[in-house]
Amino acid sequence: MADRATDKGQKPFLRIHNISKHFAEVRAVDEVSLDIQQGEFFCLLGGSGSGKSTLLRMIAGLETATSGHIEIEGQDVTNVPPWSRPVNMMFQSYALFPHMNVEKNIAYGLKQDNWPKEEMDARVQELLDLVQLGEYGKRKPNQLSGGQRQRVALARALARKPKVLLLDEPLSALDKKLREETQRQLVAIQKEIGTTFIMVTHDQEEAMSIATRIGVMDRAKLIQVEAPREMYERPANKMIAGFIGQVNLFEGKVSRKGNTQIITSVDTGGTLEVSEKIALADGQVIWVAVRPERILLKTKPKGRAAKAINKANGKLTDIMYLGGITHIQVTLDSEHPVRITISEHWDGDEAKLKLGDAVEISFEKRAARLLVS
Amino acid sequence: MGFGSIKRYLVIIPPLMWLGLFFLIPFFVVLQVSLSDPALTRPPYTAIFTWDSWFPSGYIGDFENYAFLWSDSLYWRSYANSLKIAAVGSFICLLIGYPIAYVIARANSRTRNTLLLLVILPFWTSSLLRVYALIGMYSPNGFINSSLSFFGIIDTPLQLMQTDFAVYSGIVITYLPLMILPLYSALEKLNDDLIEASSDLGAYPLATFWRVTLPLSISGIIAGSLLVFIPSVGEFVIPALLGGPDQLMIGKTLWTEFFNNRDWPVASSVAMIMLAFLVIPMMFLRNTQGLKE
Repeated sequence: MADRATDKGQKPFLRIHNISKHFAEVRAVDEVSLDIQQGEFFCLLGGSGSGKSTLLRMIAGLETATSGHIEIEGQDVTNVPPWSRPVNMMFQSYALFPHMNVEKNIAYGLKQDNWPKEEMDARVQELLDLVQLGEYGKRKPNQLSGGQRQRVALARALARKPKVLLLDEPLSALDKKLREETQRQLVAIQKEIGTTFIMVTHDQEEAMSIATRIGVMDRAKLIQVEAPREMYERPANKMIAGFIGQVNLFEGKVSRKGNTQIITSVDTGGTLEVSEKIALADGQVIWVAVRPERILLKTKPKGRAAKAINKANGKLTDIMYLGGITHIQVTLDSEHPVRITISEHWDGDEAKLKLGDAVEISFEKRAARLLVS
Repeated sequence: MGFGSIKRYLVIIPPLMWLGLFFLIPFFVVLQVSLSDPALTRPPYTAIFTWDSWFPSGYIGDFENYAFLWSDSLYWRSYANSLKIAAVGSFICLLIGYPIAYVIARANSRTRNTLLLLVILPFWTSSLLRVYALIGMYSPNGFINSSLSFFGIIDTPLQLMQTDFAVYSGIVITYLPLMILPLYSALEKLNDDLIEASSDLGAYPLATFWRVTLPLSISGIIAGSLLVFIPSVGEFVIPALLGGPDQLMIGKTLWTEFFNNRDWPVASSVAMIMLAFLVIPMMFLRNTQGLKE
């Protein structure tokens, strides 16, 4: 996997090299390599059972790697026990100590490191201020709301000034509104203190809005590592295209006509063209991915073009008006469904759309992405 | 009062009647005997009230027996020794039971059930039988001594019977499950995440134990210790069978007063004082559990 960090010639801050974790017969993480730079907010994204949490726990030292190694600032920490690693973790359950108040929870790690009393108190106060819990120091965890507990867990994990902060689905227990607010706070705090954050999440929107880079995991493998925008624009395969945002996939088959290769599609009933130049074998099956907002919709089509390129006819089968945008589903003549998102900048009149209307869809060459797997 | 709450009272009446009949009335009978004087009658004690046909007309009971207990050091030494043996026995049970409970609580669910069954299994045999088994182990020609002399490690048999060691091992073998089960239930509730969080925050395993595991299992420690301590204080069988003749325990003293000396009033007052000793730790337990909620 191409890694931009090494391309620049910098020494990676956190280097994960060929790491695997097997539980009995099951491969939870399979030969994952990943470099993370100082100050990144990295998101490990994947469904349940994809191995993302296991990878995070190996970085924390809570799971031992079956093979491979992990380096932090050039130091091999693969076999260093969790209590000696310069990383801290924020648990999905928060794991606050129920018999200690907020201050004692935050001070727990500092006490293990034998901080002097005054410095420890000052640090705890600083963290309470950072997470805006100034007056809650004496409360027990069960006297706090979910959001407050989440912030105590964050403060506690940051207390020892870890080189890397690991966050295991830290926002999954919060309701939607609080979650969005907390995402912003998390980004603000990360910018303020400059610590490297690695967060595990199954929520692609969360990853898109927070991360500097996203690593998508699927079935124990790390599939693609990219910044959110690049990930959206250039997904590596069908799985990622569908996982990061919504996508329409048109299946095509490569064939040769004279000296030129063409892609014919059963889904559109015509040919497909993309602006990318990728070497393809004759007879190969490929997919063309187009985002819903990049499909052009035309009502009252004038007949059917003979050699339609990136174009198909169909009829409206669903309209979902959401205010600013409208989701539309078109069923093509080939029965292939296509999702389209139109905004108010659409040149047609959205209010006049009716179910069953005959429409024409099309997309530009540069709006499409060719996928081979 | 709605019909629902009437039903609730109906449900609670049978157990209350049961407790009244078999606990409260005997308690007052014993209390009454403890205030009376011994007599060569049947039963061997005097009445504490004078009766005028159906109504008590005068009270003639006194605290003479309690004063007697106070004056004779035999009783104080019995109480002190009982409390000591019960306390040390509970502590030994705690030391042995804690690691067992910890391992069971951390095991996966299938092995966990097997291990719990193994803990409870000895309860299916009579406790008297288990104590007799210890005699078979400890006696001069018992298993331990004959094995040791067979291998030529000792010439003369070791004195194992009639020692503190024998009494403590009797208490452990009898009451260990009562220690393990509440400890297990406390440790089983302990979330793995807390242990991991502690390690992650720089605590060595021993520090994690002292600062997280132990404080969070304190309710199990208190419950288990009391469950062992309370019956151990009044224990009769174990000191009688395994302890020496000089091993004073209040259960044995009570037995002697009641059956050998046929002094029911003194025996009853011994029992009342013992009850007082046991009620205090019980109230302590109630208070600590009340604080939790």
